[in-house]
Amino acid sequence: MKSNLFVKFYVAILLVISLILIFYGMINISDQKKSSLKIMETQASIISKSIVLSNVEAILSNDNAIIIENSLEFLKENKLVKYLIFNKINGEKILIFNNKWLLKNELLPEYKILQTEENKYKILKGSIYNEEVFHYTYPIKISTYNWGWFHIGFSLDEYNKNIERIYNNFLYITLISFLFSVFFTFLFAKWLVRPILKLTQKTKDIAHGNYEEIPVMTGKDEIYELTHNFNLMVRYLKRTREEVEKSRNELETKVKIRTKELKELNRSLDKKVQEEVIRRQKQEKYLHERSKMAQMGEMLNNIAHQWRQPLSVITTVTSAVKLKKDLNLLKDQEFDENYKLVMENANYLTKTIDTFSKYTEDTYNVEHVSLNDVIRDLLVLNSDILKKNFIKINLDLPIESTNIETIPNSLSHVLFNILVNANNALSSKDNSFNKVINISLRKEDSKYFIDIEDNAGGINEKIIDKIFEPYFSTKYNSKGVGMGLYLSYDIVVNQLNGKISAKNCNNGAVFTIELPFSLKKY
Amino acid sequence: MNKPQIHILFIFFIFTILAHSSERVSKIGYLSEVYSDLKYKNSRIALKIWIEDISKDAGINIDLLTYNKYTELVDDYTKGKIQILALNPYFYLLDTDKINDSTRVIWNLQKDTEKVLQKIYLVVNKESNINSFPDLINKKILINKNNYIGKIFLEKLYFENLKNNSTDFMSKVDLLEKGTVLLKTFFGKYDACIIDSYEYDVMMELNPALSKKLKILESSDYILNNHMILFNKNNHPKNMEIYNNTLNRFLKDTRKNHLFDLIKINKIRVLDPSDLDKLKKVFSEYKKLKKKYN
Repeated sequence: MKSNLFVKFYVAILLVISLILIFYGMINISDQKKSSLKIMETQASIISKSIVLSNVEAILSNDNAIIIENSLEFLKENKLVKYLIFNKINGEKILIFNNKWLLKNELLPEYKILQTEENKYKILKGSIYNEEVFHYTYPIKISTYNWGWFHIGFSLDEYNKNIERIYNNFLYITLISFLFSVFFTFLFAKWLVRPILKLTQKTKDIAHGNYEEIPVMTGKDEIYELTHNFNLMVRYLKRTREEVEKSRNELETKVKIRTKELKELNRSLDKKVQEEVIRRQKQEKYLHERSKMAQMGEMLNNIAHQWRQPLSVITTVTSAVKLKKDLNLLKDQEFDENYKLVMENANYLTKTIDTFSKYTEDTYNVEHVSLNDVIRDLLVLNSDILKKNFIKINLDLPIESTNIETIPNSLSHVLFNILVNANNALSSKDNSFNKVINISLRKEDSKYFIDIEDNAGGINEKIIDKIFEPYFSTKYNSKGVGMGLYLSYDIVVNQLNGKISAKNCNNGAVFTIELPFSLKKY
Repeated sequence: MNKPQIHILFIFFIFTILAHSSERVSKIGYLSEVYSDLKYKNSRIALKIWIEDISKDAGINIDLLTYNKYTELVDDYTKGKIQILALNPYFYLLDTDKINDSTRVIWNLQKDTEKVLQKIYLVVNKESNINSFPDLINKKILINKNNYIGKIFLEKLYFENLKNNSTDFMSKVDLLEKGTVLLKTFFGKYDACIIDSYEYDVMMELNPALSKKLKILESSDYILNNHMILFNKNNHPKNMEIYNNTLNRFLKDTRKNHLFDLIKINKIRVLDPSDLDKLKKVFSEYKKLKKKYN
C-alpha cells in the first residue's frame, strides 16, 4: 500500500515532467527548424542579391558568358551552393553546377511555381539535383525592368547537421533533465506522500489498537486539516473504544454471572436427565423383563400344552405296565417296548425343557449358529399352540449351511415375538379358515433375510408406520403392553446390526429380518 | 580564366619556399604590365597576409620588386640583382639567350597534370559562316589580353593565309581583360577566339553542348606553356636543393596543395629547355613573317 501510493505519485509526476519536456522539446525543435530555415532564407537572400548585383552588368548586356563564368567561380568557392539558375523571361534558362552548365528552353513546373514577384523558398528534391536542397528563388528586377528569376540551391548538409545537433542537444538536455527529474521527483513525491503514508501507518496502528495521535504539522494546508481531523477521529475512536471496553467489561461480568447460573442449571438438568435416563432405563428393563416374562408365560403355556400328551402317554404306559406286572402279564418284550416309549416321551420332555431353558437363559453371547436350527427350535416350542390354533407352518429353509455369527438368544426372542403376533392374529380367525404362516430364509449378498408371512389380513395401513414405536399396541384391554415389536426392533438394529421391516402382502403381513453374516462392523 | 590571380598566387608560393629555405633577403622580380590588374581580387590581400605570417615565422625579409619595363627586369636578372624571375613565356622568347645565360633552372607551371605544353586553337562560331581563315576578315575576334603567344599564333596565321600586312586585322582583335573568350564566342558576342587547348577542354567538359555551336578552325602544335619561374645562376646550389625539397614537401602537403586549386595550377615541374624548341621556332617564323609583311 505504502509503495503503491508512492510509486503512483512518483510515476505520475515523472510522466507529467517527461511529457512537458517532450512537448517543450518538440516546440523548441520546431522553432529551431523555423529559425534555421529563416537564417538560410536570409543567407539565400543576401547571396542572391550579391550574385545578381555582381552580374548586373552581364545581365543588362545579356552577356551569358560572364554570368556563367562568374557563377562557375562562385560555385567552385562555395561548396554549399549546389546550383544556380538564371531564368530570363522569354529567354534561355542557364543552369549552372560546379562541374557543368546547361542551357534549357523551359524550367520544370516545380521550379516555375516558385517564380513569383516575391522571394520564395522550398526544400525540394527536384529533377535537376538528386539531393534535397534549400531552393531559393529571387526575382531579378532592375529598376522597373523584370529580367527574370534567379534560383539558387543550397546544400542542406549544414541545415541537417544543425537539426541533428538540435536533436542531440534536445536529447542530452532531456536526458539530463529526466535524470534530475527522477531524483528530485523522488524527493518531491516522498515529501508529498509522507504525511499520507504516516496517516496510513497510523490507521494501521489504530487497527491494532494503538490510539496515538499524529503530531500536527506546521502550515494550514489540506494535510494539516487532514491530520487535525484524523486526530479528532482518533480521540473520538479512543473515547468510543473506552466506552465499548467499559460496556464489554460490564457485559462480561453479566455473562459470567449468567454463565454460572446456566452451569448450575445445566448441572441440575444433567442430574435430572441422568435420573430420567436411569428411570427410563429401569422402566425399559422392567418392560423388557415384563415382555420377556409375558413371552415366557406364553412359552410355558405352550410347553404345558406340549407336555400334556407325553405326560399322558407316560402315565398311561407306566399304569399299564404296573397293572400287567401285578397280574404277571407283563412280558419282557412288551416291557421293553413300553420302556422305550416312556423314554422317548421323557426325552421329548427333556428336549422341550432344554429348549425352553435355553430361551430363558439371560445370556446374550455372540455365537456361530445355524439359522435353520434357531427357526426349527422356535417351531418346536410353539408347535403345540400352532396346532391347537390349526395354523399350518410352511417352512422354506435352504439346504446349504446357514451359519451366522449372531446373538441367538436375542434373535430367538425377536422370531418368537413375531411368531406369537402372527399366531395371535390368526387365532382370532375361524378354525375353518386355512391359517398359514410361511417362514422362509434366503441369502442375498452377505446377508440373510428371514420372512415371516401370515394370512391374517395384514396390518392397518394407517398404523403400519408406528408398529415399531414403544407402547404401541393393537391389543387394547388385553394382554398386550405395546413393547414387543419395539423391543424386537431395538434388538435387531442395536444388537444384531440388522434391519427389521413390516409390510402387507396379499392376505396378511410380512415381517422381514435382515441379518449380516457377522456382527463385526466394517 | 583569371590569370592575374594565378600570377600573384604563384609569387606568394615562391615566397613560401624562400621562407623555409633561407635566412637572407631574397628578391623576386616581376613585370607590372603583366600583373597590372592584381588589385582586382580580394584574395590578393588575404594571401599577402598569409605570406607575411610565414615570413615572420621564418625570421626573414622578402622583397617583391615590381618592374615597369621588361628591359630593366631582364637587366637586373642578368646582373644578379634579383634571384628569381617570374615571367610570361612571351618575354622569355624576346630575350631567350640572354636570360638562359643567367639561369640555372626553369620551373614550368602547368594547368594540365599530363601535358607540359598546350595547343593554341582558333575557335569559330558555326553560325558565323567561317570556313577558312580568310572568312575571318571583318569578323569579331576575341583574345585574352595576356595571351601574348595566342596573339603571335593568330597574326602568324594571318601572314600565312593572307600574306598581307596584319596591322589593320590585329587592331580589330578585341582583348579580353577578364573572362572566358570561348563563352563569348559561344553566345555569339564574337565570331572567333583564340584559346589554349586546356581551357577549351575544360569548357567542353563543363558543357559538351558547346561543340554544337563551336568548331576549331585552326590548331597549333603543342607549343604553349603557361608560366615560368627562372632561378638565377647566383642562387647557391644548396639553396636550389632547398627549393626543390621545399617544393616536394609543399606538393605532398594536402593543406598547402590546396593552393594549386586556388591558383589553377595543377603541376610544377622543371622545364627541359628543349620543350620550348617548337615555340622558339614558331616565334622565329613569326618574326620573319612580320618582318616580311609589316
